[in-house]
Amino acid sequence: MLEPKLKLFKQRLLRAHTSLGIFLSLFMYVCLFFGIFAIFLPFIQVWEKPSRHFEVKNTKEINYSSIIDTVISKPDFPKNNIRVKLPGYKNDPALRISHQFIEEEIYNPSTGIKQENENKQSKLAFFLNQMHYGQFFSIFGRLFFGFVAVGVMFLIVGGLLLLVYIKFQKNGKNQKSTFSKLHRNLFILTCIPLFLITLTGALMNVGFKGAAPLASYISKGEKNNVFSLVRPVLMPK
Amino acid sequence: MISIKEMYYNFITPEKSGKKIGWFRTFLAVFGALIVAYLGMMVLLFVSPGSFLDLVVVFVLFYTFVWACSALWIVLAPSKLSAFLRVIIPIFIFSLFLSQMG
Repeated sequence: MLEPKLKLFKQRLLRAHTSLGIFLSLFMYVCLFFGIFAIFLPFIQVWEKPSRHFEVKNTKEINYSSIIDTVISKPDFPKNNIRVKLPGYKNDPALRISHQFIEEEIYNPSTGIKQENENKQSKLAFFLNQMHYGQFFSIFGRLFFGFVAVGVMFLIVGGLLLLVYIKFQKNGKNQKSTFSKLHRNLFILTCIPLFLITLTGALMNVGFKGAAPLASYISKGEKNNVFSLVRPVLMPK
Repeated sequence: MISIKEMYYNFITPEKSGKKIGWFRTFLAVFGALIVAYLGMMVLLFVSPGSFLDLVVVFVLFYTFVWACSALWIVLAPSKLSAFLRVIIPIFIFSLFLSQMG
């Protein structure tokens, strides 16, 4: 590139990186903060409900029929479409027996004692998880957090170009250059995992929903959900 | 009051300083880049060999990344005219190609 054009290119690259980075850092902070709690989701959802505070030893040696039969043999219990969730399903240690028209009953599988169910009272684990990916603000939150992920990919590619094109001072002593050096070194260490995380985040929040025109185009207007088209590839039987 | 001639001159010449991005470029980089990336990945989907559904998965996974890359490419154009052409020319080529594919 010619000299004045290269200068313009560098200035614009740095300014686009800075302005978008300051704007997106607000939302990246929310994603990262709640993401730390989302790692501990299975533990928090057991801890927040006192009815689940028991030890389950070996789920294969439990006599389930002695618990389930006594419940479903009651005269007023429905006879079909009964739902039984075994311990360990979605990291819940309780045995759950339910029906569409009857309140869910939960049991301690190792002792067979009925527990008081506080199903909807405490939703801390779901709150922390949903704030991580924007579901708490319904569809708008999910799309917005997806656009934040796309913006972070813009910042990653722009950051790599900045490292190639601009010669940064290595031995600067003032505060600005120390921070810049820290920023660069942290980016070099974390760029690959950060890229994979933001790519999958953008896939789950924007990718599947945004591919509806493509799904409509390739199925000749029959379907507009791309996930139902690619299900045989992503989840083979 | 700026005349139309001056406006056109500002449109085609590269700015002296790149310290201001501007709403025109931002708009093109967000929405134009989305259309460029979407159509470009669609052309790639119909041209590449291999299992079609596998390629659809590649499309769904990577079009957001291509969106980000093309937004960067458009926002770094030297003048406003070249930023505009970087949106219009790929859209024209890709849509012509897709229309020929049927």
